[in-house]
Amino acid sequence: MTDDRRKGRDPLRPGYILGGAKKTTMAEAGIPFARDWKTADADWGLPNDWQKIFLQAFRRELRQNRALKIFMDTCVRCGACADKCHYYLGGGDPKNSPVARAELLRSVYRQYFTASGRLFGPLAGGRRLTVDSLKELTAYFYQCSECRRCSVYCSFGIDTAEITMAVREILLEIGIGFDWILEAVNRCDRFGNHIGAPPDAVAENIEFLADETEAIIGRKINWSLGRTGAEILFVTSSADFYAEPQIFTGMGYLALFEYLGLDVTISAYAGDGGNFGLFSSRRLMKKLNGKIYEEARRLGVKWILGGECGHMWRVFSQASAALNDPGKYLEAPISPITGTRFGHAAASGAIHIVEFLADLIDHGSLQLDRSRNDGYRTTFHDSCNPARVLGMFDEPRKIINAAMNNFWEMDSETIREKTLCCGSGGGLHAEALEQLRFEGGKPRADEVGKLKQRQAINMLLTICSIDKAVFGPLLDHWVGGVEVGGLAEMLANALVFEPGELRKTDMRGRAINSGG
Amino acid sequence: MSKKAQILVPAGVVCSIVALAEVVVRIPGWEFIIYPGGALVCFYILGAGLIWRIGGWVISRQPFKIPLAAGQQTAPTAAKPQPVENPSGRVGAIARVAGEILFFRSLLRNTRPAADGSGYLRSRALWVAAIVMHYSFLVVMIRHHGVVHKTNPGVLMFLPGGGGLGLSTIVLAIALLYLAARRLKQATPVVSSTPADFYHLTLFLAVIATGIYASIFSGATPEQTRSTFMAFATRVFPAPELFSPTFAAHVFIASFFFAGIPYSKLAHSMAAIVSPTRSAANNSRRRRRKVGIEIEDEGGSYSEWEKRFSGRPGPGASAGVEPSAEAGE
Repeated sequence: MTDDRRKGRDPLRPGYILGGAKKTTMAEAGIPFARDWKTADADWGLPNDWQKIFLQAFRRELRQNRALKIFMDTCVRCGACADKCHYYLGGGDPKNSPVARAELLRSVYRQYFTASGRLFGPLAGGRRLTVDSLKELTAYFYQCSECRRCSVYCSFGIDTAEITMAVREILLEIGIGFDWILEAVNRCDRFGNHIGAPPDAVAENIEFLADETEAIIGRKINWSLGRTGAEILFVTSSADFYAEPQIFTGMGYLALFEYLGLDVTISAYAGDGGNFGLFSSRRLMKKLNGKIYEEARRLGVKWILGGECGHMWRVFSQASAALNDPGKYLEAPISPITGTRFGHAAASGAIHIVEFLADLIDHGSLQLDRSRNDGYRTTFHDSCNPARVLGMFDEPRKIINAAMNNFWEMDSETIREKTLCCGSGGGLHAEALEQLRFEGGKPRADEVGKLKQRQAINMLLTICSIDKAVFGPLLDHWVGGVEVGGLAEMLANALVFEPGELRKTDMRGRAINSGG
Repeated sequence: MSKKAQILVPAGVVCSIVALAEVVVRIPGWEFIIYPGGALVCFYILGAGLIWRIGGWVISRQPFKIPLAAGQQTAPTAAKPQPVENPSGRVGAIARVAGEILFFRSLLRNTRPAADGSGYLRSRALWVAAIVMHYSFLVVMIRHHGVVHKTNPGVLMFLPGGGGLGLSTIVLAIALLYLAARRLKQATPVVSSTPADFYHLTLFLAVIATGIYASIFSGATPEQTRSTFMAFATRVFPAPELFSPTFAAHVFIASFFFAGIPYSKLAHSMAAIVSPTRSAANNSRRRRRKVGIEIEDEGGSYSEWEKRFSGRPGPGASAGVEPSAEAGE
């Protein structure tokens, strides 16, 4: 193999790498070596002894992250993961595949942490840590959306997402972090949401959505912000109250809560389930996740209801119970409507709104008129984290089948645990990464396109806020004529508050049955 | 490193090891360096390596449990839980790991994109090759029991007796050659292949070749093979007329191969058992497991947050601040 071939493509080309970071952003997030720096610059302003710090951090990670250690020691390079990665499928850069990506770190591991690598270097698959290899490492580990699809197909369960997280953690220690992610962390910490809206603006926005919802369903929406003594704290992605099309899901929540008369409150302090700490470091992840539980404790709620947010569920599932021990002050979630005890979430004290709603449907607690959604011809995209972390596959389909008549599944090799990523997760939904994202999202878009040809679908349903943000432009580009929506939105469209009621428009303000 | 060098260098190393073993084992008075001495040293190295490798994994801590959900969760709302693909308890997790070890479950899911872009095709070739290679290897290993005892153990009595060229050996060699050819042919694995990958493949083939040579072409009698093999267990060197140098060299090269297991990617044989995404039950929402490491605690900051916005208009009033949408969603 020639060296050129091995190099793959230039990973630092525009459209494939985030821009850099501002000194102030880095300092606020507590990242060392805070400085203004750009990836386009030849000199990234790294500390003089960056190699030493990198290797120290790597060694520490190996000691305190068994998964990383096992994954470094294990891969047989069979390549089964390569053509499972949406970036490789959509973009064709051989280095932008799970095995090659992991090898970037594994080669450094061999070089510095194995006897054969120390003795034989490249012959034993080792590679020195140089500025060039560091830049390549940075680029490709910020070209992984941490979707875990590769792990489904790996005989040893090697999870590239875990390797990516470890690399990003190490990179932060030498001052390589990106504004796009760190600023979101800072805003979430400072304001309580990614958008940077102060509490009064949050209230104003929800009020606006409540008014809109009221106009559609014809009854007053009761809602509250930070109400002490409420039974349930509702946490979702802040985009559900700010950005289109997420706000239609947001309005759906409000309509559903009103229908059920749920004793629920929303928080401005813990106003975002999205946790960009997950995409940077465990410290920041803990900090943001802790806010939600601090708020739950302060308000004295019994349990937490989580909205249609994707990666929030990775944190809620894997880390929340461990980090916060909510068993001390929260109860196992019990549906006040059906009495169902969600024992499978007893330790985290948090259930997904899709689980909550699926239980209501199981018990026939919702009066629904499916025909109201007849204008929508839909398919469902399993979002990576609810899929491959929770394993929540039946529940969203229950909701869809209860809420509408027109639903078709995509190719069975690309749904449920095999779902293809949108290409923008893991903190990568930045404009700077547009080329990468459009390539990475293409395999999924292609499947949507095929279904559009066969069944004339006009709506992609999904339960992740990043999905909702990115699929619009992505599908416009590759397919055209397919909108993006959420499950709470579709369910709220179908909700019958009173028998015989006349609903003129759906949550999007469109005449019922007009659909897309 | 060029592709040619990636293959030629390890092939050269393997040839040298084989040549060295075959020559030294035939020098009177020196044979013990290779056999049983060298072979025994290899096994000590293997033992030490297993302790070192597994110990390294055990010592390393686990911040969180990270099981991968490859099926429907067990929950009150599940229509059909999949307790093996997404285990909620230990039994399911054990069944899952057993599935990986016995059937290479995850590799069985393998697909490849259809050339015409029409979808994803089931791709079983790698799974078949892997299963055939590993199981024929197992059979070959068991057949070695017959080298000593003339029959195979217990339920495996039906297998052909020890010595001679078994079908399993041929199948193993073919499967290995297929895997080597696949590695050379396919673009992505080649990009990611290292000289070490070819080293292990060629060394494995050398073990098979020397085994076939020793049992068929060297002219050694079964009695010579048996007594040579026994020297490894008893550490008593057989009488010269009962010694088969080719078989001794084969055992040494095989031991050399085994010795590398914990120090190389061959450690995958152990990792399949302890894989953090496969061996853990997906129940961290139900049952708390403490964080395995210290993570800096920056504490709650509600009062600070409240103070920060205390001068602002109350909820519902106009904020006059445009929320920024620069970061995050």
